[in-house]
Amino acid sequence: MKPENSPSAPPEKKQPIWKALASVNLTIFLLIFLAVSSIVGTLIPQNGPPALYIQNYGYGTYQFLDSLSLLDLYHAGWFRLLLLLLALNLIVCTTDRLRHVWDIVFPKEKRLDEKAVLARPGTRALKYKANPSVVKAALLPILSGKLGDLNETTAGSTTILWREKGRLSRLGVYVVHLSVVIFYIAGIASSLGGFRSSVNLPEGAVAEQVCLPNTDVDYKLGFALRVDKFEAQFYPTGEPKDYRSDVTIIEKGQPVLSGNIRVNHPLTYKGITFYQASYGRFPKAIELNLVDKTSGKTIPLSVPFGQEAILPDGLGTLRSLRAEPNVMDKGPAVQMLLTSPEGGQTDFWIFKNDPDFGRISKLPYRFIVTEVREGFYTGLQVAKEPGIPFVWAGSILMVLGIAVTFFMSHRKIWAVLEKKGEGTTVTIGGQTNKNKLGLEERLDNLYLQLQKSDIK
Amino acid sequence: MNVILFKLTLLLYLAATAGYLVYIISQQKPAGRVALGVAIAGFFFHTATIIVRYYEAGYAPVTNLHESLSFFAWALIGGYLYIHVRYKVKNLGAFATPIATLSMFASSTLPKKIIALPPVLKSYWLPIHATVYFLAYGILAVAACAGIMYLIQERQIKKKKFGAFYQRLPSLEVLDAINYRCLTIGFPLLTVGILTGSLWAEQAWGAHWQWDPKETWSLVSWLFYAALLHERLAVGWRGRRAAIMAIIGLGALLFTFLGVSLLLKGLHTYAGWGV
Repeated sequence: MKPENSPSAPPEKKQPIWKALASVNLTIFLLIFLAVSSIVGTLIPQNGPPALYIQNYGYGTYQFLDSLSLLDLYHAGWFRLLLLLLALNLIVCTTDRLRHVWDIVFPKEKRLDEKAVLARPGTRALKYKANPSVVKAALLPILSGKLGDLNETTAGSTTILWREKGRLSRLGVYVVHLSVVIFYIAGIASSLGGFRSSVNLPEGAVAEQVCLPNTDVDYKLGFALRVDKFEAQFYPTGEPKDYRSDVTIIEKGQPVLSGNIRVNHPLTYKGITFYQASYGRFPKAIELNLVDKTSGKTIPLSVPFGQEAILPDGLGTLRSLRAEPNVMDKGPAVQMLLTSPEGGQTDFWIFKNDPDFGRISKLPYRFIVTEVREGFYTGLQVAKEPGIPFVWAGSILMVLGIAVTFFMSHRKIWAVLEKKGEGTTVTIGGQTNKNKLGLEERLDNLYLQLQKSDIK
Repeated sequence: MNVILFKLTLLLYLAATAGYLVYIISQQKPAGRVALGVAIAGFFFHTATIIVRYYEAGYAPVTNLHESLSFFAWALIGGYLYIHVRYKVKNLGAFATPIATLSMFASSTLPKKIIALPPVLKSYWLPIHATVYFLAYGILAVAACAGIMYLIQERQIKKKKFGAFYQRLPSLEVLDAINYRCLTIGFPLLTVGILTGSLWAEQAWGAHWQWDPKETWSLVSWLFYAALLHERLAVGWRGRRAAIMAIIGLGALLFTFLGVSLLLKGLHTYAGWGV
């Protein structure tokens, strides 16, 4: 009865799962499967109204596609599961290999596998008449490069001079893997702790909250954003040049920040970012001329859009209801609501180009629309993305990691000095974990340098 | 001015393509040398075309299909010349110059007028993002050329046809090495392209990633090349499979570049501005 000697079950059970997750074949399968699924999402329009799918594909196909979540593929459970699996695969692969690589990158002592070197020292050999110690002394200044110290290993009568560089570059690929994990964190942080919404604000309007999409919930900004001015600039050709909203941030009734929001130049305040997304025009006020039918006297009257203006001589009030660019093919027209002092209401249209069409004869005036004053509203996208710093960190790490992985290598270069009779044979060789061609070129250079040198 | 230079470049590329075809058929060394010289001259004028257009437009000329196809051809010829110098390979030009010429020809049929830059493209990310992406396209197109040559050469060997065509192509080892070298340059560029695109998207549209078709396809090609790299580095695939993957990879890239803009139009936010 020695329980510690009996094989413990859990590790053995874990092993196959660990092995499966540590497999590069799984990585390749997941990468390709994710790629192909993503393509499907670009071929089937995503998040469209059901009616559109039924019309285009038929009801049965619609149900089928919907049951596989192919209509909102990138947010589907199975797609997320695959992404999660890829992350697990990457983490397991990394930890699995990192232990081994760590020992190579940070060895307890500098070492060279002499047996391997002596078995295949290389093909570039030189013969010298002098004995090894003389040759060694002559070789030292040539072999001592800028990078890495020259090491010496002796095996019997053979001396190996060698140097090593780029051990750390073996970690580059794990930096890339780490950056991928950081992107996952960025995505999770933004979807859990962030929101995205949009808001249309006329000039002068103030936003203190935004409505969260697909909900009735308002998100309180914690401050207010006032749109002071919106400006759309155009090139002489009519192409858009610049969209710009001048805004003021107001906190506790006090303006704290003035700035502008332009395309490509968002404004961030307290973690909430405002992006210039769209714009439009809306009627601000309707300018009328009231022309006295008998005297011809003209009285100007401005009716704010959607509001009332008081008519002169106690004739009641006039409210503007609608302003349309084209009514009954007769051009721009406005719809007004007249409330008499007694409370009776009549609505009527005034055509800008034909003031006498359908006029109201009861009143002693003719109404002439001189101008529908328009204002701009600006369409802002509002977002809070706690993941942004992670995106930047991930991007920087990924670029650094990839640069190290692809453009640096772990190399060893050696010269094997063997005593041959009275003289010495020197063999130049090396090994690298990638870019064999680069190493060969380096060795060629070294070989050439040694041939040219005046060592006897 | 840039249009005149552009036409001159196209003529030189046409001449280089013809020269390479003569070379690969007749195997006359002078033809190959002349073709290379003409290709280098073409590349020189092409570089001038792009610089002049940059000054005439006032922005990096990578904003519409005419400019992008031309820039892609430039990157492809540049990538080819680099590999040619590095590996001293025979006949790679016979595969690379026709593609570049075709791209230039397509570019020449499109409107060349310089247009004022829309607000969404007014960003320091435009030259970085677009240039990096097209350099990636160029060098990965060279990888695909090497892949095609690999498959042809392998066929020759399998059929034991060590005839004229066999002599004209580099060895399988060299072609595989070129394939890998292009991948190790192209993949980092592709990565920088996708990252800068995401950072720019956040500034311009308010979201790093919205699964827009262009974004999705760029991810698809990135995932594909990532898979190819893992095959090569971790599993040890070589040769034939890697060659096929390089060709399919270019297909995915070309769809990202052209297919999404031309075929999936209307679904994506880029539709308004061409590429």
